[in-house]
Order: sequence, then structure tokens, then C-alpha cells
Amino acid sequence: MKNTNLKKTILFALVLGLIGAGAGTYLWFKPVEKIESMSTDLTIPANELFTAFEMDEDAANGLYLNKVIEVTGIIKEVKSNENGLPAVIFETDDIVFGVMCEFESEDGAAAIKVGDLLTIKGICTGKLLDVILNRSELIN
Amino acid sequence: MKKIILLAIVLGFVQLTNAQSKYMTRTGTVNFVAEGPVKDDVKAINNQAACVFDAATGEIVFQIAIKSFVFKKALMQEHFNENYLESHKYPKAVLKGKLTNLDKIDFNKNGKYPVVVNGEMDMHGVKKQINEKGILEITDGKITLNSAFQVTLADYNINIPKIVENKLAKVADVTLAMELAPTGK
Repeated sequence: MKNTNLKKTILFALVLGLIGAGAGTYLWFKPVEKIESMSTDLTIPANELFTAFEMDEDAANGLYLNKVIEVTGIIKEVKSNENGLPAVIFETDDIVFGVMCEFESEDGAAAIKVGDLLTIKGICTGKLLDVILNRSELIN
Repeated sequence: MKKIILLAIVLGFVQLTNAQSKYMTRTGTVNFVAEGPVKDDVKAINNQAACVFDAATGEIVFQIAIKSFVFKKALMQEHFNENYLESHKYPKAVLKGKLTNLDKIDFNKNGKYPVVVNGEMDMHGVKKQINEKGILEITDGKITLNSAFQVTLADYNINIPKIVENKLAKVADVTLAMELAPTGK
């Protein structure tokens, strides 16, 4: 009887250990989530987002940093980055800088033209010269 | 003959002062590798580095959003941002400097020039003097800047917990690739 109990306990511990190890391995190897499966935190016009960072960068960081944002506006520049991925810049009131979105993949970006009115989803990583959306995708 | 030479020099000078002097990119690439003795793909890429260079003065500024670094593994990216670089508190790294050998570069001629940037790097709330080498290449009015250097994490108060010590290098390898185009101003 005692023996069966011991066996059960060992078996239980083993199963628990396996589940733990499995969960740990899963978490450790889990790839970075794709933008398409992330839910949008907020939607904002490009100029409003840019102005918020221009007026008070710290406050804007508090509001928008690391958030999944859908930005709407007119495209003023289409380019590809040094690594070959597409990047577009939304027009704002600033004559030089705007909201730059770097695409996660080439999907959907090829058809984008200067002057298009678009909504693009991405993760806001702050403001350098432009306000930046990382790992973006085209919404419409 | 002397007059012609003088004229050529003056004309050359006028052209030089009128010439485009500011160059910029907003899509520069920065690679970050901090592999420890146990290899675990501690690598990230950032394709959104901004860089502005003034060829008249040699002044150069790099800006990098820490959150723009993308890792393969989600947990690694989370730790990089939350525990090590604390990007919610310090969202960007800035390197401001000056090319020390500007006089050796002819911006009107295609070619490769070794350069040295002397300045200050501001990362994770710590400012530190730097002196790094790179290669500046001029191709038909465009400038490509490449550099590879090492960053000792402890210099920037980035502490690596004992538990991951064998997976993370104490000194990270950083490479920069910037394609700078004239700003048109």
C-alpha cells in the first residue's frame, strides 16, 4: 500500500516537473508576437500623435510608448530601410518630420503611394527625428 | 596662368561653401549581439536609427529608440527592455560626436575613408565619452557610414543577474550601417 502511494507521489512529481519544464521551454522559446495578432490600444491621427511628442515628449512617452497604435494620415514618403524592409512616413504639420512606420514584412506595403490616405498599425517606440511605429502593418 | 589658378580656387571654394553639407537617414540599421559562453541567440536588430551628419563641421548625431530593437525570442526582448535597458525610463540612446579627421575627406569624390568619431554616448541614463572608428564611403553624393564597436554593459549601469551570466556577454558587439542622403537644405 505504502509502495503504491510512493509510486503515485513520484509519478505526480514527475508529471508536474514535465509540465513545468514544458511551460518553461515554451516561454523561453516563444517567438516575438506578430503585429497582426496584437490588439490595438488606441487610434489617432498622425498629426495629433506627432504634435503630442513635439509639445511634451515625456508626457507623450507615458501615453504612447510601447502601445499598439493605429495611425491615420496622408503618406508623404515611401522608402525602404537599410535592411530592405519598407518604411513610410505620414505627413504632419512639420515640414520635414512626421510619423514613420517600419513594416514587419513586405506584405501589403508594395502598393502604397505618396498621397495615399491610410491607416497603419504598429508599436510606438518613441520619437527620434520622427515619431516611430515599429513592426507595422497596413490596416486600410 | 596664376589668375586662372586663382579663379579655379575661388570657384572651387564658392562651390564648396554652396555645396550640400547636411546628410541624414531615419532608417539606419543597428545590430546588437551579446552572446555569452552558452550560445542563445542574444541578438537584436533595429532598423530605425536616425543619424544627422554635417559635412561642413564634422558633427554627427545618432539617435536610437531602445524599444525598436527586435529579438527573435519574446522573453529576451522583454528582459532587454524591462530589466536591462529599462526603456520605459530611458527610451532612447543618443550618440553625439564629431569626426576628428574631417580634413582628410573629399566629399566631392567617390571613395572610402577611415574615420574616427569622438563624442559622448548617452544610454540608460549614463553619459560616457567615446572614441570609435568607422568607415565612411562616398558614392555619387551619398554617404554610407559603417562602424563596429563594443559596449561594456556595466559602463552604462546595465547589470546582468548571476542566473543569466553564462548566456549574456558582459561586452556587447554593436554594428552600425547608415546610408546618409543629402537633406536638400
